[in-house]
This record gives sequence, C-alpha cells and structure tokens, in this order.
Amino acid sequence: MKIKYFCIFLLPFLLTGCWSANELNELTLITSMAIDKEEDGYLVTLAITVPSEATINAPGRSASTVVSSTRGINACDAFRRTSSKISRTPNLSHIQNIIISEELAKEGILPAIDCIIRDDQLRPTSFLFIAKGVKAKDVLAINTSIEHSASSKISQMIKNAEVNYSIVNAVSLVEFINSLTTPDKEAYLPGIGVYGDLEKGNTVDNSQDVAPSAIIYLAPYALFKKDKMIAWLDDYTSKGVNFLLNDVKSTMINYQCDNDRYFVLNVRKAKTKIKVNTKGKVPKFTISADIKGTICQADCRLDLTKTSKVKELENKFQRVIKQQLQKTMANLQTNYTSDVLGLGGYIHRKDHKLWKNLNKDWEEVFKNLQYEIEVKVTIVQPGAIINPITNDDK
Amino acid sequence: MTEKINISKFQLYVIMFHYMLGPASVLCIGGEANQDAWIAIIIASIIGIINFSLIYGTIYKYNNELSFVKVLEKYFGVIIGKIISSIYVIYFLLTSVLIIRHIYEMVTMYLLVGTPIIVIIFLNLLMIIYAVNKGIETIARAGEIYFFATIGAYISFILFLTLSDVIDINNLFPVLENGLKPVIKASLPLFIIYPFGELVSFLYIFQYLNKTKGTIKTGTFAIFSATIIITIITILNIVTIGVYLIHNSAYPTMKMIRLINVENIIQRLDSLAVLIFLTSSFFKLIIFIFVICNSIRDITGVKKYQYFIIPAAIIIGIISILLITSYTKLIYVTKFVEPYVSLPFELIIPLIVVIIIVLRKFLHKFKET
Amino acid sequence: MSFFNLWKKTNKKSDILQEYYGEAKKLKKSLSENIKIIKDLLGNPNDLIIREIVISEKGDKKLAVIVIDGLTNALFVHDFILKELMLAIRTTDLDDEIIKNTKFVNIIKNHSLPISDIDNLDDFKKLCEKLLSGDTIILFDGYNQGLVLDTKGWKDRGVSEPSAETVVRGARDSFNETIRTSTMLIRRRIKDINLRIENKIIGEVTKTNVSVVYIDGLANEKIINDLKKRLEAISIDGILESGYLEELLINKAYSLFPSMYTTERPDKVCANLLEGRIAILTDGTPFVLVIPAVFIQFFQSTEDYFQRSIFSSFIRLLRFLSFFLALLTPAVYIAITTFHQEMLPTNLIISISGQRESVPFPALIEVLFMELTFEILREAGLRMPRAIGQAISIVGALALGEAAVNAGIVSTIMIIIVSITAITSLIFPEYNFSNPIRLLRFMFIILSAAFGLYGIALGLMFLTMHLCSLKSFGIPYMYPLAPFNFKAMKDTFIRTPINTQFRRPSIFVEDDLVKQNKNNEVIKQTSKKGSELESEN
Repeated sequence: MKIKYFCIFLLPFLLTGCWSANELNELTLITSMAIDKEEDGYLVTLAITVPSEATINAPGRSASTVVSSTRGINACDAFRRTSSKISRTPNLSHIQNIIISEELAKEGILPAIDCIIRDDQLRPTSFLFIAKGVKAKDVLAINTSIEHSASSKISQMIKNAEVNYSIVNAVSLVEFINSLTTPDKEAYLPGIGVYGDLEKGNTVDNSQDVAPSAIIYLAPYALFKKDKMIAWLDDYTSKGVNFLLNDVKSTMINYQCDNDRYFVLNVRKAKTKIKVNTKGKVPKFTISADIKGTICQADCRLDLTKTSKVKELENKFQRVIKQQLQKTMANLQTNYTSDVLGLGGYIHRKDHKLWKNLNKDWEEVFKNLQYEIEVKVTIVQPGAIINPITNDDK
Repeated sequence: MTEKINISKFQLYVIMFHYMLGPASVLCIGGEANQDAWIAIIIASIIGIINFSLIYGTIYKYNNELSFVKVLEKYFGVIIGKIISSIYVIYFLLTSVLIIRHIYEMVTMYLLVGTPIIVIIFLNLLMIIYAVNKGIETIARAGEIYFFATIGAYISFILFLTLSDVIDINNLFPVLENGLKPVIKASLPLFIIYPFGELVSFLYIFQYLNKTKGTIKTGTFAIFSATIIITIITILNIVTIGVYLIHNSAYPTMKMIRLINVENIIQRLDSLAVLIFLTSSFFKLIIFIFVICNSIRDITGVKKYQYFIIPAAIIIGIISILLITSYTKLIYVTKFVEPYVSLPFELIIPLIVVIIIVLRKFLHKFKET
Repeated sequence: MSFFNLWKKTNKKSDILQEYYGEAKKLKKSLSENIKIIKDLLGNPNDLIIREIVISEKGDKKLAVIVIDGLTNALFVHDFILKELMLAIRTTDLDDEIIKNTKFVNIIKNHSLPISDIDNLDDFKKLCEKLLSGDTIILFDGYNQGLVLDTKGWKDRGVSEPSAETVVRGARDSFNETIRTSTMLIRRRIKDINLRIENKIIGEVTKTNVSVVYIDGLANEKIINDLKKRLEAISIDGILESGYLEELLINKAYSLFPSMYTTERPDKVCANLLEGRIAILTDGTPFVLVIPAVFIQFFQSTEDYFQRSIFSSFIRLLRFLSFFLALLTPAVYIAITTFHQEMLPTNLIISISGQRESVPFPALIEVLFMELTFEILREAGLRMPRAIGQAISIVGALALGEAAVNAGIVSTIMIIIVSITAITSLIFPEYNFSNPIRLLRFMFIILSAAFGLYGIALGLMFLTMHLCSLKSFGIPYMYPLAPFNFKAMKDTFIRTPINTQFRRPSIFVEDDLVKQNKNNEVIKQTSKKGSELESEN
C-alpha cells in the first residue's frame, strides 16, 4: 500500500523530467571537428550533418554537410560560441575525426586536446589528423562523392589506407593521449591534405563532377616531440615507421631491377619484432621483420618456376626492405630524434633499473642506439601468372 | 510473514558477489600502484579472505542464529552493545551515502547529464525502499537473476574489447617497477574499504541462512570470484586505456568501455555498461539499508524493520546531497577518509569480539579443569 | 454484491421460500401439495415439466416425474424413465399393498429404472438444486421421499478445436463449457487410480460446479490443503468464469502478472498434472486454471515437447527474446533517440534523424500515439462483429502504415517499432501473458521518456523485485531462476531431449520424483545394436 502512495509521489517527477533529453530534431550531429590556431585565438570548425540531405531519399540539391567556423580565445570558448551560429544543440558524440592545424600542432597540441578529451560526449576512439598544407577547416569544407560528407570520407579512407596501403595508420584519441603521457615513447599523427582548388572544392558541384576539383588525401605521419609537432615524414620513411611499429597490414615494396623496370612485392602479412638486449652497457636492439607476400608486378626476366630464382628475388626484396628500415631508423635518430617507436618502452619493460638511468638523457642515448635489422621475405605466391610476360619470342 | 526467512547458500554467494563488485568495478581501485594495480587487488583480496574467514568466521561460528547487534550485546553487555551497534548504524549510513553519491555521479556523467541530483537520488531511493520492503528473500532472488545478467555482460564486454583491437599488453610491464612497497601501500586501504572489508555487514545477514554449514566457505568463494572479476577489469583497464588515463579519469572502467568498437556496429556501450555497474551498486545499497533497518529493529526491539526504511532512506538522501558537494570531495572521502573511519568497524571491533570469544572459551576450559 | 442483495430482497417477501427452502424443510406426503410447493418455489416457469402418472388401478395414487425442459436429455427421460415406469406399472400388479409399502420407492429405484446415477431425497432444497442442475425428480403420492435421477443433458458445444491456443502438432481437442466433458477429457488421458477429482459447489446463486483435479501422491499436500481452504473461504453470489476464481484465490490481486495458468487444452492440463500441479475446473467455461504457476511456464508450449528438442529450444529462446522486445523496444527507442544518441552507429542515427525531421512531435508523443492506436485497433478487432473485420483491418493498416508517415505524424522507423512490439507480444502460448507486457510497455515508455536508460534500468529493477516477491501458492514465481535450480535448467530456456529428463520438478512434487526410469538406457543400447544390424544388412 505504501508503495502506491510513492508511485503517486513519482508522478510529478516524471512530468517534469527530461532535463537531459534532446529530441533528434532539436540537435545537430557533428561528425568532424577542426581546430586552427589563429593570431588572436583558436578557430573551431564543426562539420554539421544536414539529416534531411544525408538520408537515402534526399533530393541531393544541397550539401549534406555544412561547416561552421567560430573564433574564440581558447578551444572551448570557440566551440561554445558556435552556438550563436547554428540553430540546434550540437551533439559531439558522433565526432569521428578531429583535424588539427599544423601551426597549432607545432606550437603545442595540449591546450586543444584537453578540451576535447575532457568532454564526456566525445568518443575516445575518434581519429586525430594534422592538416598538411591547408588550414584544418579547409579539409572539412571539401565536398566529396561516394560518401556523403568529408568526415565520413576521411574515416573510411583511413581504414582503406590501413588495409591496402599502410603508409599511415589511424591514431585514435586514446592512443595519442597514451603516447603523449608515457615518458618512454613519442606521439605521431597521420596527416591530411587537399589536392586541387579549395574554392571549388566546397561547392555541391564538387561531389557531382566526374573529376572533382578538389580531393582529400592522406599524408604521411607527423612526428611529435612531447606535445609539439616537429616534422613531416615522407612516404618512404612513413612506411618504414609503420613497418617498425608492426602496423603494416598490406602494402607493396618496389625493387628496381632495371631502368624503369620493377619487381613489386605485394605484402600480405608483415610482422616486426623488436627485441632489446640490456646486458651490455648500451642497450642493443634487434629488429626482425618477417614479411610474406605475393608478386604483383614483374617487369624483368626471371624464371619464377625455379625455387632458386624465387629465393634470389626474395633476397633482393630483403635488401630493399632492410635498406628502407635502416634509412628510417637513421632518419628518426639523427634528423628528428623522436622515439615514436617507443624503443624506450622496450628498455623500460625489459629492465626498469636501466631505464631509470637512461631516462634523464634519453635523447642522447636514442641518437646513438645500436640496432641490428633482420628481414625475411617469403614469396608465397607468384600471382595469377607465374613468369613475367615477355615478347622475346616475337 | 509467518514463514521463516530463508536464503540459500547460492543466494548468499550471489548477493555477496554483487556487494563486492558494487562501485569497486568502475572505480578501478588500486590505481595508485600503476600497472601493478592488479597485484594490489590480489593482495588486498588475500587479506580480505583472511579477515573474513578468520575474524568474521569465528564470530559467526559461535553465534549462528544471532545478528551482530545481539552478538555485541552478548559480549559487551546490553547497553554498551547497543551503543556500539548504534555507532555501526551511523557508519553504515555514511557508507551508503558514499555509494549513492557514486551512483549519482555515474548517472550524471554517463546517462543523464544535467539532471538535478535530488531527482536521481529520489528515484534511486524509491526503488531501494521498495526492494528492502520486500525483504531479504526477494532481494536475494532478484540478485540471482541479475547475477547471470551481470556475468553475461562482463563476458561480452571482455569479448568486445578483445575484438575492438585496443589491447596493448605492453602496458602491463614492467611488473613491480618500484618494488612491492607502492603495491602494498595501494592495497592497504583497499582491503579495508572496497570491497572486501565492508563484508562486515553480512554478519547481520548470516542469521537468515537456511543452513549454517559451509557459510564461510561460500563467502570465501564469493570473495574469490569477485576478486577474479575485479582483477580482470583492472588488467583490462591497464591494457586498454593505460595508466595515465586510469589516474586521470573519473570512472576509468567507463572510459575503457567507450573504446569498444566492433566493426562500427557495436560501439559506445557505456550507457549500457553503466547500468550493469549500477545494478551491483544498487544491490550494495539495498544490503546496507536492509542491514541498517534490521539493526535499528534489533536495537529498539520493534517488531518490523519496515518502519525504518523510509526514515533511513530520507536521511541518506539528505546527507548525500548536503554533505558531499562535488566529485572531488567524494573521491577524497572515498580514498582518504573512509579507510581510516572504517578501520575500527571492520577490523578492530570484530577483532575484539573474537578475542573475547577466545578468552571466554579459554576461561571456560580452565574452569572445567 | 449488489446483485446478491437484490436477489435476497425480492425473495424475502416470499413466505414459501422461508418455509420450505430456507431451513431444508422435508417433503410432504401429499403429491399435489409437493407439486404446488415446487411450482411456488420456482415461480411456475414454463420450462418446468411435471408429468403425473397414475399408478394404482383406482387412479387415486400417482407419481410425478419433474424435469426442467432443456436441461435434461428429453429422449433419455422418455425412454428410460417414463417408458420404464409405465411399462412396470402396466406389467406388474400394483395393488395398494405394495404401494402402501414403504419399500415401494426402493422397489422402483432398484428394479424398474435403468439409470446409473440414482439417489433418494427428502427435502425441498436438494430437490430444487438437483432439478435446476438438470436431474429428473420423481415424487410419489403418499411418500415424503423422492428419487433423483441423473439425466443431465443439454445442448453443449461439443469438443472442438481450441480457439485461443492453437498448435500445429498435437491434440486438437479442447475443453468446453460442461465440466463433465472436461473431466472426461482428462480421464481419457490419465487412467491412473490416483487421479483425484474433487467437486465443490461455489456461488450462492449460480451454484457453479468447481472441480479440483490432481494426482494423489504427486501433488503437494500443502498446496492442495491451502487451495481447499481458500476455496472454502469463498463466499460470492456467482462464478461465471474461472477468472472470478483466479482473482478470489490469490493474495496479490493487484499484480499484473497472472499467478495461475489458464488453458483450454486438456493435454496441457495433463502435462501439468503429471508435474504435480493442480487443475481447477469450472463449470461454464472451457478455461481451466492450473496452480501453482511460475513465470517460466508462460514461455513454454505443449508443442515444445512434440518437436525435436533443438528446435524447441530455439523457439523458447525466441520467446524470451520476444518478451524483452515486446516490453522494451519503444522505450529503448525513446531512450536512445532522446538521451543516448551516441549509442547508434553514425550512419543509422543520421538516417533516423533524417526521418524524424518532418515529424513535429517529440518521440514520446510519437510512440504513445502509435502504441495507443495499435492497442485500440487490437481491442476493436477482438470485440467487433466478424462481418466488419475487413473494414477495421483496412483502416488499421492505413492508420498505422503509409498514411501516418506521409502525413508527417510519425516516422517510418516508428512503424517498424510498433510492428515489432505488436508481433512479439503475440508470440506467447498463453494469451493472458501478453497483457502485463502491454501495460508495462507504457510504464517503460514513460520512464524512458523521463530518465532514459536510467529509467529503464530502474523500471527493470522494480519489475524484477516485484516478480521475485510474488509467490503462487507458496512457490516462488521466478522458480527455477530464483531460487536458482540447476537441474531444472534442462527444461527452462532450452528443452533437452525427453530421455535426459528423469525427474519431475522437485518444487511441486513431494516424493515421487522419478518420472522416467534410467532403464531407458537399455532401449538406447538395444537400438544401437539394432542399427548395427541394419547396417550389416
């Protein structure tokens, strides 16, 4: 009986409820966010989905995503000021990509990142990018075909690149924070840029053209030292870093056999192991890469039906990859002195006492680290045809 | 109800299980030990098992049918016993305040951002009043149903996490970087509060068991299983979100659940996960309020404990709103005040009781000879 | 109750009632006087037939055969009572000696009436009761005694297919409104001497026959005694359907969940009897109550045992899934779209919000509108005359379908959600069980509109606590989930093959637990050998 009276008590609460309720047609879904640094503060750009245009039955007249940029003295301020420009409450929970401008990254990314990670709607699995060559806000403003918006294009593109090309891999917010905060490794982020005409890129026509005027592309890694970006890698080094990070899913390796003629290895499976020997005075690393792949192009004459010839080719590829890894390591050590591979972590986990000693001047130690690289390449399949196509018999 | 209240061993196991998981599973306890938090938990649970089976076990062994109020009266005399029991009631009230406050924080952080505290606490207490009113049998049965749901949820969370490709085993190493000292330091407050020491309230519940045999074994097994779950969660926390975010998150486990993303379909389960964690906290709170009302009944000698539910709930609600004003304060109280306050209640007083029991027995034998 | 009072008031005026009926007054010796009293008692209705037969040669002694037309089997009365009596009178020399002999009634009773159920009577109360329940009364001139002959026979519906619980495989008969047919159907299936059918008449005006059926030795004595006590305590003017009993027998009449199992299938009742449950048959309705009922039972159909166990298990799991879908789908929809938008994949939420764009109402109103419309249609579909069914279904399809979407009142996804709840709530073998779900669905809708998933979680907790606190005749409602019974799990969420289920549910059955001898192992082995032989051949 008592319970019934309580139920009556409950009623007013039910009626006045819904403090945190937001009807779907009272909020805007934000799928991407870009943060630029300007002279007098920050510029936050939100990619806002227009639901009626983003559905399948949409007429397709106007853009399915609109972009809204707002200035503020800090990131949070700028973000809040957007509400004076858009009609509905922004919902951040579906942000997939966060693009940070190069200038901001170079000055230090922390002031922008804290605001993001503190917000509880935002998912820690959203991807972070550094805008290369353009302002961060310009990337979001490009209209794309196939996907309905730039943000969904970016998140699909990075997945595609991961699986098929492996020059860059997606870095999520939580991974980035972890590398930022851990003393034994440095952070890195993939870059993103735009080819073509930025002005034309943000029109609806851009998505309707057969050859779009502007298109978004993925750029190689940007390296960080603490929270400051220090350099861009090139494709070659970026792939090397990915190999060393054991993040390559599938990519290709070129071996120039003749002038303008190549053997191309399609990497199907790559596994890199890094081991550290802390017994000596200076820790010594052994990097061993085990790569399995198929041939995807063969221009020079080579009888691939013979195992000895295949072995020969494997050795050639081994040399190419070894060279790439060595160059990458050298670049990281001397040019950038940034431990993105987390080599410090290997020492830390293996021998924490040694790490305590090395920790203080890790940069110096890192510069002079000794390592050995072993690469093993196995060609598991020649592809659909075996020998290179030739016209010698003609 | 004229029927005798009976709960089975399995039901005891189940409610102890929920009770220990309580808010402990979301807080990622033992974080002070960095990547060795899981070792801290195991150490804490070993101490907890010893505490439970030796101290509480002895008290229970000699006082099968009695609630702890009567036990205290038996050994300290009626008046002192009642006074101690009353202090216990106040202690339980304060602990309940902390739990309900954690529930509120979790709800406003993950489910209903911006809803006034009074509404959430009121709703919560409403449900708890209803549950406590129905009695321990109903609570235990509901516990059984939620037990399987909880276990299923934990298993699926673990599965989803492994499928989401967010695990980095390296985070666990190096083991015992700074030696055992910080680990033990982290585990010391643990065994007293979350979750193993608070089992003292079960001294009030054991009297309802249908069989007296094997109770302590069941309890130990419950501690053991709760330890496994909490350890797994802690390890998962370390390998997914990393030590820094564990230190730096309000509820690390929730952050971990957010990482779940299976093929972009199963994602953002945090709203569901918080419910699973809340259920365990609900049960803990239900048990606490049940114990509070039962002790007041035993102290005052009133027939039905049901009279005290609503006043107790109102007091808890008011204190939780007025006393603790922010999350920072809540964490401060949970981590730095509660362990020292609970020490006498969870360790010292039971220990004194055990000493008296042993002494009496010794004297008895001495007299006989 | 007011009806009962009215009845009493109008009859208080009648002196005859008080004189002859009220205190079990004995019959008079004079036949004409008796007939007059009977006529007065019953108000001389036109279906009262009194056939007087002269038995003495002089024609001064008579006997009267009294029946209510329509309640008796007329042919039976003609052939075996009137004809026999007349023949006997004609062929035997009935002189005054014999007639005067007090044993005359017994002679007639023992020698000349080929009727199986025959009894003496000597008061008006019994006379009227028997007469009104379809028996034939014979009164004799000069005797304050009469005979009651069982000649009940009225137009009943016959045993037809069950209308509320249909199966593909399984028995096609169902109970009907006559309690005798119902007991017959049970007897035909259980030919055990321990089958007990205990009769009780309940209802001061309706005098309804209520039978308690159980298997002695299997059913729990405590529950039987408890049930009998509760039946004894009932004091009501009428029982028109077993639903009356259901509400009268339980403690918590306010619970939404049925604490008794209602069925019109004899095979289901028999299966339950074999598990140690007790059936309550009520005259006038085909629906039989089975106690004690547990929650899980409502997810089980008899057909589960007629199909292969793996398939049955799948169907059962489907029912459990449907339970949650029926209960929670609209609530979860509201919670997700208004509170927890992050839970859905981005593309889906964009698509849903695109659909919601044109809808001016909040999700709550949208859901309530559609759910209420559906409930109204459902109720209308049940109650309307068959002939206009077509019209209603067309209107329903229109109202719930395209038109509502096109008008911008609801979104397309809403139609899907209402359809899911509608279909899933119909999956339960026991029709009654969908009623609490239908109501609770609204509770969850309101809770989730106010508090999102937190509201749903609290609601589920309330629901669990409530279900766990329920008891049906001392048996916890959530058995075997809580208290948990591992052995019973063989037949809860899944159904293992029958040859793995050796025991009856221990919570109902007192001692005869073994339902199947393990000797069946022998059958297995021999069949294995048999298959070897076959393969050799």
